[in-house]
Amino acid sequence: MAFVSATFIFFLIIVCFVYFVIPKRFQWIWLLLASYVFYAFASIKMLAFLIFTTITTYFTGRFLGKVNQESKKHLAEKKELLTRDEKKTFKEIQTKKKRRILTLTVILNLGILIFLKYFNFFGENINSLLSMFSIKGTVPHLNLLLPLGISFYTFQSIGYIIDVYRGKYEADANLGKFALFVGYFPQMVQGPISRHDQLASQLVEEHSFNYTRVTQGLQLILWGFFKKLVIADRVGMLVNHVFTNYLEYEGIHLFIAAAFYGIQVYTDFTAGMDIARGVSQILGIEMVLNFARPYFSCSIAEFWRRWHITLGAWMKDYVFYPLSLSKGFSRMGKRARKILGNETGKMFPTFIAMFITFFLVGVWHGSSWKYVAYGIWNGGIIASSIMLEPVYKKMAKLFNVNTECFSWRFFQMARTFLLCSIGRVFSRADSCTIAFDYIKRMLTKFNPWVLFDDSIYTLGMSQKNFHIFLIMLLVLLVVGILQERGMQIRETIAKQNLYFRWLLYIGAITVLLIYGVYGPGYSYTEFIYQQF
Amino acid sequence: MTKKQVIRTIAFILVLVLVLWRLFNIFSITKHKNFVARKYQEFYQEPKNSIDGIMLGTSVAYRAWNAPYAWSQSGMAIYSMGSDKQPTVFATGIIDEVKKTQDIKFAIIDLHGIRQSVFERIKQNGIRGVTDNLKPSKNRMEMVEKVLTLTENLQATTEKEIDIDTKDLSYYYRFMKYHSRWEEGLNRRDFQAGDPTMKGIVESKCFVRGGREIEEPLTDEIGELTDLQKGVMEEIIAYGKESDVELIFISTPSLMPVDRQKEINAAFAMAEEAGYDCINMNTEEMFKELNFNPAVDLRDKTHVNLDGSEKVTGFLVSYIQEKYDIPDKRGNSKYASWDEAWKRYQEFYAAGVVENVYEGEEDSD
Repeated sequence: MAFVSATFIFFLIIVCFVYFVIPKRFQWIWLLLASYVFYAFASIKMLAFLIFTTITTYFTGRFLGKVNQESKKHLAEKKELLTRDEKKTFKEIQTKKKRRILTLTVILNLGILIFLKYFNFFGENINSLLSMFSIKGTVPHLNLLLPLGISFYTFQSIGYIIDVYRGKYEADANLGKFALFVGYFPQMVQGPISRHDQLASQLVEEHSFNYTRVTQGLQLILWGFFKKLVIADRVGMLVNHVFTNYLEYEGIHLFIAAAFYGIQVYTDFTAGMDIARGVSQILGIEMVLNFARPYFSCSIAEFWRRWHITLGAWMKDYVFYPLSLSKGFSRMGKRARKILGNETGKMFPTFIAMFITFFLVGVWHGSSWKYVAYGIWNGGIIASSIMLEPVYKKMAKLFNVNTECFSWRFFQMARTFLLCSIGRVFSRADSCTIAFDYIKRMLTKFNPWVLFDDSIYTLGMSQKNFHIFLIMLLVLLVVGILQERGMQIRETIAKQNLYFRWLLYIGAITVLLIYGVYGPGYSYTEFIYQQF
Repeated sequence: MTKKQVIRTIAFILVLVLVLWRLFNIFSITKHKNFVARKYQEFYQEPKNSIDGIMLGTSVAYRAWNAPYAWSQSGMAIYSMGSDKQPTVFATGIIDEVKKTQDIKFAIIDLHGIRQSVFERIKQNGIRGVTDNLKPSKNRMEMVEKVLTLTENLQATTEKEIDIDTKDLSYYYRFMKYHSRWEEGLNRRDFQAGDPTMKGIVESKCFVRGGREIEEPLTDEIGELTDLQKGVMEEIIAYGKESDVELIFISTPSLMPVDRQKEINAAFAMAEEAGYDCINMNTEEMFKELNFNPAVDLRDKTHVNLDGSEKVTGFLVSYIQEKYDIPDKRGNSKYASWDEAWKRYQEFYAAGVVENVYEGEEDSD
C-alpha cells in the first residue's frame, strides 16, 4: 500500500477513526492489527519474516533482560561477600552467556537480511570470479523477494537487543506491544530506525483526540504529498530520462541530472518521513526526526549527521563506537603511532572505523558494486577531510580567507552539494561501470552554453514542468532557510489569522492536485528508499 | 474537540469542497473543443421525463441523427447519446443512465460499432468520451469494468495491444486524468459555461460533400462474428427482453467494404432472430427510399453530412410515428430549448458556413 495512494488515504481514515472511537486501552492492539494489515497489503507471505524477527528478538530481549536482572540481584545480595575478582569473574560469565544468545540472534536476523539482499550479488561475483579461471560458476540465481522494510525493522530490532544487552533499558515484557514496536506501519516503508526507549512507550500509551495535534499532523502529511508528487516525481522525469540515455549527454547536462537526482532523493525520502511523522502525530505519537536540512551542510561529515539521521546514529552506536573502542583498534592505534607518527597514528583507527562504517552505509543501500563505490566515496571523502583538516586550515591562513563570513559558508555548502551530487551518481546509475563513465563524461566536458540554448528543456521535462519545478524548489528552499533560522513553520502558521491559514491550506491542496504528478500516463513511482 | 472546533472544521470542509468542485469543473474534458462532453452535459440539463427516445452509436450515429430537424417535423424529443468510437458494449449502460431521469420509450442502436475495425480497436477517447461525461455512479463504474474486461479479452484473443489507460482511479475520478491540462494551457473558455449544441448537431464539416461514389457493392450476405462480438450482441438482446425500453437496431447509410457490411448483417440477423425491429439503410432499396446519393449526402466514406442527416432523420421520424403514439410537443414551454434549437439550426443551416469549427480529432467512427 503506497503512501501516496487512495488506498492508503482510505486505510488511514479508518485507522484513525477506529483508534479514537474504541476504548483507549485497546488502541495499541488496534494499531498492531492495522500495522499487520498494512504489511499484508504488500505481501502476506512476507509477514512471516517480520513475525520471525519479532519473536526471535523479543525472546532474546527477555533472556538478556532476565540475565541482567539476575546479575544485579546476585551482585546486590552478595555485595559484601564477593571479592572484586569474584565479581569480575561473575560479570564475565554473565556477559559471555548474554553474548552467546545475542550473537546467535543477530546472526539469524542479519543472516536473513544478508541472504535475501545479497545472495545473488555474491553468487554473481563468485561465478564471475570462477569464470576468470575458466571454471563454470555454479552458484544459482534465486528469485528472492525482499520483504517490505526488512532493512529498517531488522536494524531497529537488533538495536533493541543490543541496548538490552548493554543494560540501557529493561526488556519489553509484552510480546504484542513489542510486535507493535517492530511492525508499526508508518515506519515500515522507509523508516526511520527508531529506538525502543523513544518509541515503544508512546505506541502503547492511551491517546485522546487532540484537534491541534491532528491538524498539525495533517499539515505534515500535506507537505509530504507536496514534496513527493509535485517536486520529487516531477524532477524524476528528467533524472530518469538523462540517466537512461546518459550517452546522449555530456558535461553540464549530466551534472544537472546528478544534482537534480540529489533533490529528487531528498524530497522523496523526506516526503515519506513527513507522511509517516504526520500519521503518527495524528495518533499522538512523536516519531524521531530523520533529516535536518542536509543540503545546508558545510561538509560531507555534517551532511551525514543531517541526512538519514537514524541510520547514521545506528551505525555510530552499533558499528563505529564498538569498532573504534575495541581492543583490536586500540592495538592498531598503538602500532600506527609507531609507524605514522603520533598525530596521524592517533587518528588512524578512527579513520579506519569511519571508513568501515560508511562502507557499510553504502552496502546497506543495496547489493551492487555501485553501492560499494557509493560507500567508499563517502567514507573516502570524510576520512580524507579528517586527515587533511590541518592542511585546509593552513591554506586558509596562507591565503587570508575569512572563514567566518557567509560567503565562505556558502562556498562550503556548494562544495558539499557538488561532492554529494558526484556521489549520488553511484547510487543512481545502473551499474558501477556506468557510474564511472557518467562521471567521466560529466567532468571532462565544459559546455556552459547548454544553460542558454533551451536544451535543458529537452531532458525529459517540458519547459512548463521545468518552471513549475523551479518555483516549487524555491518554496522548499525558503521553508528550509526559515527552519534553519529556527522558525517553527507550523507553529508560526497557527498564529496567523484564520482566513490566511485557510487560504494557505486550500492553496496548497489546489497546487498539489493540479501540479502533482499522478494519474494515467504517469506510472506510480514508489519511494526510492523503499527499495533499500 | 470543542464546539467551535467542530464548526470550524465543517466550515473548512465546505469551503474546500466548493473550491474543489469548481476546480474539477475547470479541469474536466475541455468543454468547448469536445463536442461529446457538451452534449452529455446538456443531456443532464433536460427536464425530467421529457425525452421520448435516444440514439446510440459511434460518430456515424450522431452525425446521422438530426434532432432539431426531427423536432421540427414531428415534435418528438429524441436525444443523440452517440459519441466518437463509442464501444457497443456501452449500449445497455447508457440506456440505464438515461432511464435514471428520462422515461424513454425506445433506444435506436446503430450497429457500425460492431464492426471489427471499431469493435477490436477500442480507443481511449471512445471509452472516456462516454464514461468521463456520465455522472459518477455505480452504473458508470460497471461500464468501466465491462469495457476493461472486454479489452482484456480482446487482447487475449487477438494478441494485439490495445493502447488505453489501464484500470485506475482516473476512470472514476476524471480529475486525475485531466488535472495535467494546465500543461496544454487553459484559456478563458475553460472557466465559462459552454455554448449550446443544437441538441447534438456537429458543426464541424457538416456541410462538406465528400463526393464519394459506391466502390464496393451493397450486400445482404451474412458474415461471421467473433465470440466476443456475439457476446456483446447477446447481452444487448437479453437486456432488451427484460427492459421496458424497446430497442431498434439500425445501420445508417455509409460506404463500407463488403466484409464490414457482412459483419453488420450478421448482427442484424441475431437481432431479427430475437424479434427486434431492424433497419439496414445500406441496401439498394433503402438508398432509393431515402433518395440517398453518396456523392452528395456523405461527408466522407462513413459519415453523412447535414443533408444526409435530414434524409436519415426524416425516414426514422416517419417510422417512429407509425410505430409509437408520441404527442407533438412543439410550443410546449417545457420544450422551449427544443424550439430554440430548431431556430438556431435553421439560422445555422441557412448561413451554410462553418463557424466555431470543431477542431478535435477527425471522426473516423
